[in-house]
Amino acid sequence: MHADDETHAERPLDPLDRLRHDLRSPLTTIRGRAFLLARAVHRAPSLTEEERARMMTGVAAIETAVATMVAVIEGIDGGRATDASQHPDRS
Amino acid sequence: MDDRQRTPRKHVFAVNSSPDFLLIMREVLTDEGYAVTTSDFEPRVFTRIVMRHPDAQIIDLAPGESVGWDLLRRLFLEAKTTDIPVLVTSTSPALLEQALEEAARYGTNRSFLTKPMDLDELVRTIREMVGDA
Repeated sequence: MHADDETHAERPLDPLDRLRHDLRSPLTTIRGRAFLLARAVHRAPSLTEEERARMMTGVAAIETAVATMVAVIEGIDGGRATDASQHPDRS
Repeated sequence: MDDRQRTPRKHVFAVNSSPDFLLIMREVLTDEGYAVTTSDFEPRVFTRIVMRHPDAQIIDLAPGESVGWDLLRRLFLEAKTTDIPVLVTSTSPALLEQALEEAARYGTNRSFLTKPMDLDELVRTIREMVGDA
């Protein structure tokens, strides 16, 4: 490893980094639970199509709200962040 | 009987300090047919990874915490684990960029996702990493 490897965690934590982390972490749980809910709704044999559609509309609203919050958090980044979540890179 | 029942399930080992995140990983990946081990950053976690030698490893990097980096470095550098595909997650795009730079120097089959991630994307990434795609 390089000589500057120690800096990753030892560098003083920017309060904004902590804020971004504290905001993104619960959004990860919310988005994950919405994903699992959508999967369960798709598979539930007892639901009518109308019930299924209504529930999926609710899940879509959660996804939209999460995306809105992520955009707000990226604004906090002051333009520094480049969200790589949709572009997994491979070395 | 489908293929998942005939062949041994591939193993994914997820390490994260968030119990919520680990529960979601377990539910999503078990449902996809993977055997899943989850853990926080307890002192013996690297030894457990070596013993299990998973088909894919998920590690989280949190701002201001060294445990994720310490584990990532050991996985990249130690001969027993350098061949394990690693998916790095973080709430911090900047940390992922640093991890990407380091990963480029140590081994292959490393992937990176910023939280909150699209779990369909996570599943696709794991499939690719373990050769199920």
